[in-house]
Amino acid sequence: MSDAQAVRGIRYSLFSRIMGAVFALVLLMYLVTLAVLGLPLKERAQQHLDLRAESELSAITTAIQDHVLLRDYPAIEQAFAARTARFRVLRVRLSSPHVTLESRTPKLTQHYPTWFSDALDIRAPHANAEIRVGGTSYGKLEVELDAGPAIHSLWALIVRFTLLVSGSLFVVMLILRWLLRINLRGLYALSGAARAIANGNLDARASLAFGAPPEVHETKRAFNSMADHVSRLVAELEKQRAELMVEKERLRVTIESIGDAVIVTDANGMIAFINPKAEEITGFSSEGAQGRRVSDVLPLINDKTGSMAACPLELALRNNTVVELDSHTLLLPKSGKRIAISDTAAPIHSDDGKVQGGVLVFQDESERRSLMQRLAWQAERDHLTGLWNRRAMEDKLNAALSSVKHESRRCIFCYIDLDRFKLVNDTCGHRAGDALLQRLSAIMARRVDDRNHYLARLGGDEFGLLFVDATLQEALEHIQGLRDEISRFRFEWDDKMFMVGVSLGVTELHSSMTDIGDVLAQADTACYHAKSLGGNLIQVYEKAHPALRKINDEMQWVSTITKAFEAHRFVLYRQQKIALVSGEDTQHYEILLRLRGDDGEIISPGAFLPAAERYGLAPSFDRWVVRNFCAYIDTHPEDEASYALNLSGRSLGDSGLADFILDEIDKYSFDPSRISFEVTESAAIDSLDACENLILTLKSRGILFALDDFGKGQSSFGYLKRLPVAYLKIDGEFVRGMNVDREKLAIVKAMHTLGHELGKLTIAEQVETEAELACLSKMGVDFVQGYLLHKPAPLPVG
Amino acid sequence: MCLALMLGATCQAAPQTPYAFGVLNQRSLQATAAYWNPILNYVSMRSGVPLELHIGRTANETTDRAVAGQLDFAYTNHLFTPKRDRLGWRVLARQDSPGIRGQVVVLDSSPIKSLQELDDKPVAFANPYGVTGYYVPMDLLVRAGIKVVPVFSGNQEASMGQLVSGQVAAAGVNHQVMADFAQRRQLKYRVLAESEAYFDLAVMTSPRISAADGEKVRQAFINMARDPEGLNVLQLAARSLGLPQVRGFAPADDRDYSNYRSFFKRTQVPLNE
Repeated sequence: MSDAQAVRGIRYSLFSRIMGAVFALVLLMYLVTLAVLGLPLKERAQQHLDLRAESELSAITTAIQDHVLLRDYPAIEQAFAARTARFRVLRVRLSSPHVTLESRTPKLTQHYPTWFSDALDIRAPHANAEIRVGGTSYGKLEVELDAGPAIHSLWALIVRFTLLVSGSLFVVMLILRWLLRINLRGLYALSGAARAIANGNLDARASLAFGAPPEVHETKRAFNSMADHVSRLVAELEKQRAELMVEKERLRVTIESIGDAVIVTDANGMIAFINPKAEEITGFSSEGAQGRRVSDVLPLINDKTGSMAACPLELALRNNTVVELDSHTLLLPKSGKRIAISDTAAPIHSDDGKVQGGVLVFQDESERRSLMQRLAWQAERDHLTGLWNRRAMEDKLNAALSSVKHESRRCIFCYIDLDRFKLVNDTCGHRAGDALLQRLSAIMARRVDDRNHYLARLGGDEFGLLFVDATLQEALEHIQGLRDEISRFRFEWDDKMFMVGVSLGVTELHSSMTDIGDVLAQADTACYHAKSLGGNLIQVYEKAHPALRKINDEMQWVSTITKAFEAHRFVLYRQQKIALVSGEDTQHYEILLRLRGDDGEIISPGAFLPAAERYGLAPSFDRWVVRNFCAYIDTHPEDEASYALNLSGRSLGDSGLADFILDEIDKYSFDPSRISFEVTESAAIDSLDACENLILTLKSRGILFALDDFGKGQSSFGYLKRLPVAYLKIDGEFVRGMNVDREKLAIVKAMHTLGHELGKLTIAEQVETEAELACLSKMGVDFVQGYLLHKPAPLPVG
Repeated sequence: MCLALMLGATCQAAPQTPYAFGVLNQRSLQATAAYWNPILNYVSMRSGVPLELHIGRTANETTDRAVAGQLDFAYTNHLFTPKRDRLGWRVLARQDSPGIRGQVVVLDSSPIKSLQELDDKPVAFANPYGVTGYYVPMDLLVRAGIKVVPVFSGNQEASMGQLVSGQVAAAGVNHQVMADFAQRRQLKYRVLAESEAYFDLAVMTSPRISAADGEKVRQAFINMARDPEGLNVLQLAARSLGLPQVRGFAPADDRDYSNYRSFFKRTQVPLNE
């Protein structure tokens, strides 16, 4: 059914339809009856009129036939006049060759409408005949009658019939209207209830009180039952709708609050919604984006090729699968500023699995990518100089060594160590040192092309330069030029002028090398030799070189230390820290490490620790100390003192150290708060994050930390806020002679005051004179340590 | 001669005014016209003398027209009275029949058996001018000393109608007309008195009509029964009146009607001239 038919269908009520149908039926019957009865009546009237005309003609002929024979024309005229007047003859005429006689009467006034006579189409009755007697003509007689009375009769008949039908119709319609009203009352009640429900009154029901036909009554009962069901459904729907609204609001707030941009489309890929983050990134408002294609709002290009990228959501809708964007995709928003994005597009399915739409979630990746790039750069670069860092150089050395082994390429490595750099650091501070490093790095970097030359800062004032596909001679020429340029360089800082030289150790990579450790060791050895010769020299590593062989021999210390460690020839010593404040009963010691030589002689740590630190043995020593000390304290319950253990800088970078320490402590039952650790200020600063994490982890178990050699590094005190240490151990360099050196005194005092202001206890080490002790005591230092008070001694084993 | 030819041609070319041919009212006007118009048309055609039927409302009126000179020819027997005889009309032909007689008749069912029984009784007559319709039967009654109450019905068949309807006791009639009427109506009647025979009505011409035209008309009439076309006309005419036989026309002259003139001279019935 078309809409127009539907509209016509609902325009007329049942009442109107039945009334209209009956009216139309009666009207049709009236018209049919009128036609069936009226047409014969009309024909009969016409015939009657024609007969009347013939009859009148006959009558007039009879009336005048004697007069005609007598030729009594006045009598004929008189007969004509009498006849026309009496019988409504419009015209009578007698015409012969000798005479013409005629009589007329006017038509009667019509009492019927003209259209009726026109529609009836009754022709005026007319008759004529020749008066012939015995074969002799006496003239032609014509008679014309008035059809008006006949038409009037028909009109009156139709009017009466119409009135009868109209009256009957009126009565029928009244009765029908009454019957319909009685029988439709139930339907009206049903309709009213339906309208009330449609207007929101779900409690409305069709009243069953009215008398109605059984069909309507049953319909009302069914309607009421349906309304009950609908009410229950609506109530349930309202409840679910409220829940959905809450859920929707939650989702809306979530979607609008999340940092990800969200675009939702219909199944055709036309945008239905975008959240504020998407508005911000695309530059489109939600209203402005609605109805557009995603590709219009989110034009994408490939960062590498510059070509337009396919819309991932359209792909997801087309392939009915989740699509992730290529990592090199850029967004071209209306602002024109290219934005790196990442996204995930997925189709939204209905319960039956049909695709109802799609959702595209994307993020502004600019910052992250920039961060990643920066991190990647930082991972390979030295943050101070911008050169490659040690790790990057190790990678490149690995690659170079591999290429040498497998591709027979030639590579040269040069170890560069600045001469007299410590002088700048010591005299002008780290800032000056850093500035010097940056200046020299720039000078050296200008001479490398980063294709065949790679320059890296290996640490401190040490640099590495790798030559790829270069001969030793070519490398040496380059290195000499570099050395000469550095020699000519003058560094000015605070009106001070410094000359900086470089010691360079050069070695060529060859296939016999096991790993890059060999490369570094050879270059380091050569460099060390150059430096030992006074610096500013270039030394090419030669295996047979006597000096270099000697250095190698010295490096045998490492082997010795390792063997001693394995042979348990390390022993633990302790040195007491005296509390100057009253009320401190607990004894405090610092655990020290000593090496027993093959001959039983105790070797001081200054002999082996630098080598141990240099070759990465210190973490093993630290763990050995922790393990053995814990065993000691557990086996010596009579010893109730507190102990401080030293941790090397490299141990701070050991991510498993905290767990190791806690595991060791947990093996025993002593109070962990009896243990504290000392880390040097420089080591803590070098591994600030790791140190902070370690301190916090152990602090949770009551283990405290002391910052050793405080002040030695001349660093900023800013890091103190991050390091929750309990003690500041003032470097002995400042303590010694502080009673005579006002600057040292002031520095110690400042450090002590700073420590107290930060809520930390202070310890002064290397106290060797009474005067120094008096100064410290007067100053209020919390603990003192030194040969004056207690010399290191073995732990009381036994 | 040329002038005569030219005049003749002129007269021939112009439609000739028909002569008025009067017929005595023996029957109704319609029956008279139905009978006579075909005959006159035939005679006009055969004789070349145009004739036109003229009838008065009554026989007397027709006779008056003849007397007044309005007629040129007449089929009548009213012009033999002494006064009218002097008008000079002459006989051209007559009805070819044995003749007519005046009769006094009653219905066969009537108790009246004789003329005497009609004394003071109403007796119907056609009109007071008819020969056999009034003068002759009335003369019979007068001569028989019977005084009746005459009732004039207009024509003879009307008189017969009054007799049939019982309005009159007897009727004075032309025996031929009565016989024809009785045959047509299956009517039985009884003749109480009857006159001598008279020739039926004569075709007469006015003295102003030329002898030639009169002769042409006469020839046409008397030859009509011998002419198949004329005979056919006569048959149609007779059939229109329901006559049992065709009646043609026979040659006649004034002598054949001398008994009319004698009757009118001797009758005791006052003449209405």
